[in-house]
Amino acid sequence: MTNLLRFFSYHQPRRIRVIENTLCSRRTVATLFWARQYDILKWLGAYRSLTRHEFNDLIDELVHTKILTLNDKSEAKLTEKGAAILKKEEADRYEPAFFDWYWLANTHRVVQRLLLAVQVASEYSYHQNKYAPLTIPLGEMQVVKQWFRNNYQYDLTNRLYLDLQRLGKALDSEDPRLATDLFNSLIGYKKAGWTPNQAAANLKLSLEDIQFLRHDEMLAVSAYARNFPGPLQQLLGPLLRTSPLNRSAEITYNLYAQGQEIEQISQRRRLKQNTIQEHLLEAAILIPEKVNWNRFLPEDKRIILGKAYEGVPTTWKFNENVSSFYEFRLYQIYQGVVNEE
Amino acid sequence: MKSRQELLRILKKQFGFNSFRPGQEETIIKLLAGEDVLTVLPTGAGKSLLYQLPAYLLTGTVIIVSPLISLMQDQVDRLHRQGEKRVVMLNSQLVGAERTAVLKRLQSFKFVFTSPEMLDNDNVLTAFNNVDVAMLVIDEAHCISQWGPDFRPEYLLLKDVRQQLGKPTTLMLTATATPRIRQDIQAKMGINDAQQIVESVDRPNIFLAVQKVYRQQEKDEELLRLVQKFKGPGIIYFASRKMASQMAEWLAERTGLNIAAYHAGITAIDRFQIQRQFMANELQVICATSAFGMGIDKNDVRFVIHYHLPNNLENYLQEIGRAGRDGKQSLAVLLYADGDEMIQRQLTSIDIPPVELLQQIKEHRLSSVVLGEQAELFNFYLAHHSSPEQIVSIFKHRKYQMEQELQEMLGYINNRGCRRKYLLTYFGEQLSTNKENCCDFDKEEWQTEIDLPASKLVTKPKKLDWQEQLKLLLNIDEN
Repeated sequence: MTNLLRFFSYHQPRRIRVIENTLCSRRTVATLFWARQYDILKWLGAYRSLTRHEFNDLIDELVHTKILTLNDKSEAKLTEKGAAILKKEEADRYEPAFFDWYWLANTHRVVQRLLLAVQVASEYSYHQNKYAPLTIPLGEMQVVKQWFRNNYQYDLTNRLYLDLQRLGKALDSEDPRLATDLFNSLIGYKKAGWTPNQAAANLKLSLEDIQFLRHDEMLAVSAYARNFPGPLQQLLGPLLRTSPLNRSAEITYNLYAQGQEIEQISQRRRLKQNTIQEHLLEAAILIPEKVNWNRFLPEDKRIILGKAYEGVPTTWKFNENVSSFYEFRLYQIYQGVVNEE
Repeated sequence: MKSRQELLRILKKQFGFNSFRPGQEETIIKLLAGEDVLTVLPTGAGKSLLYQLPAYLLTGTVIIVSPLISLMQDQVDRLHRQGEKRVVMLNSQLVGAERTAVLKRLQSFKFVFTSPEMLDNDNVLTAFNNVDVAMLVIDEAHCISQWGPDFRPEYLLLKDVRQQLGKPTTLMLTATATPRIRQDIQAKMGINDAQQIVESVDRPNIFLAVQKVYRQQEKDEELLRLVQKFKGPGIIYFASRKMASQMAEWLAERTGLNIAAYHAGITAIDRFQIQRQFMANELQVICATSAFGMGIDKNDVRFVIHYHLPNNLENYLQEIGRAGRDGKQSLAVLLYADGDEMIQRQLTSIDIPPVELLQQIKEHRLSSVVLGEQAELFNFYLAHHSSPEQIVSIFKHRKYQMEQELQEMLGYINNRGCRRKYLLTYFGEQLSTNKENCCDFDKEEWQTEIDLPASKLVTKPKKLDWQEQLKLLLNIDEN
């Protein structure tokens, strides 16, 4: 059963679209901002296959069964009944171990490459060349093919074995279910692999948790590939990001950090100032610990804003007489971070 | 002209068979002689061999037109398993740079699977003009006929496409076509002199039964009883994905068998895993939806049960045809509760828009979005020069026809005589001999009297820890 209850709160009304967009990794500054406020940022992209239709059906059902209430602003809150169910589920549910790496890769692509690459290597280790490969997008298939061509003469089987064994040990020590599921779901010679339903039955987890478990596995694989040279790094390296920021935001952030002003960056990059500000907001949300706050929002500004806004940042109402929306949002983020600390 | 020995040699070498099945050799000989052929072979009688074998004797590329991506995928997988790698799918999933790259090197493929819409695209047709086309294959050719239940208007484009490809030798394939539809296929393709090779649609080793129940709950119990008795491998068809998923779970719990849902809502990876497990008998029963094409290449499927009736006899025959490809005793059961046909009516209903509305869309004064799910279908007709009046009349006719087809289906269910005879009569054939295990009309106590050959089922796969799984996966032999 999928219920996504863990993303809702009894105290805080939460925008349902933010939860959906976070899980599916539809990145807008607004989504990222609210995801951070709800403390679900690290779930970004944890359920990419979730469709709008499924999500809506789910919300309808939760409302219908009086587990959630939904207000006219599309914000949902757990009812007492919902909170009780959530509490009961907490003990059995899967808690991810590698989600701090949420930004490292699109796990949807990682899993496709990994499964096909392992299948190809497995069939090869049994000297098989007549088999139906797992169907993934053609471009990805070609990448795996190239990877195999570059590697098979160089003892691929043993090197991949060592890679996977080291990875398996790391997973096993973190949570044995990670290793069990990963190696049971891989496809290979005369081996079909667990479907999510089968994994759920074997590991006694909900289907939803299997989703998150597998996302966690792929983040772990990605983190492994980032740190250890070997066939996995060759396969997955190009999929790994260097920063939580998207590429364009990263460029903007670097220029800003070097001392350029928003207007200069805007002209240089031929982007609207508004876009540049969005990039900087993204940096403030995703890497607040690296941001130079004195530059982003100098102290005198903060004092003015501090007089106008008090209490929980998510409840503030923007007042255009005090500052621009950009500064207001930055201050919200800043105060959120300060409160967390 | 290739000798018979030569054909048999390739049959053995490429496909591992010692002899042809009925209809195969005649079709292949005609194709190799450059004749156009319309072949009707029942499901599971080896249709794909008809173009795969000549492909190895002809120079150039074979183009196979198929209506569904899942059907194409099945064929591609099958060729891969035979060791053939020069295969590509050219469909709506292939976009951007990847599509350009494939179009550039089209001639390097032996088999190109594609859809009618794709061939309607100028870039694609241009790319094919640089390719030596050995043969054009129209799979599921009955889709071109407005008289048939699976009519797809895009198929009407194929006549022009064939002209533009320079009229290559053409093979039209179908599993189910009444004589009237066969005529219509040839007319719509503009190939009136094609040779027809028609084998009986009858599958004598499949026992036919209908089980009527009064209420839903009774149906579930009946299903459970059948699965418990006959175990598998088997396929159960449902009208909806949700129902297929729920019942898969329920049956698995009740029977202890490994059972999975299989429909368009599952991911490509799941689909791959389920197919493989089913092939290896690790999964015993699959709960499927009719709408999802499934060319699972499994010979020992012992039963096909319909939990909901299909919308016509063509589909019914196609679906039960997945049982007993090995020729051994198999079983087809249709479960029916009063009023089940309402589900089908609801699923297949088309809201026919008023002429005025279509006129406004045609004149771009209104977006076709207002037509909802059917927008694409109506757009197709509008784009291909049908007037709103014609369209409305086509769809009214279609609606009438679908009701007729459903009535034929109900006729089969309520038939008080031999079911096989009813089926064959519908397809313009006669029942030649009365056989022993024919249908529940002859054998009322079939549930106890019919024995199905046992298959080796792997009910509990050995559970290995991850280290052993890994060693097994990469053929590592160390301790």
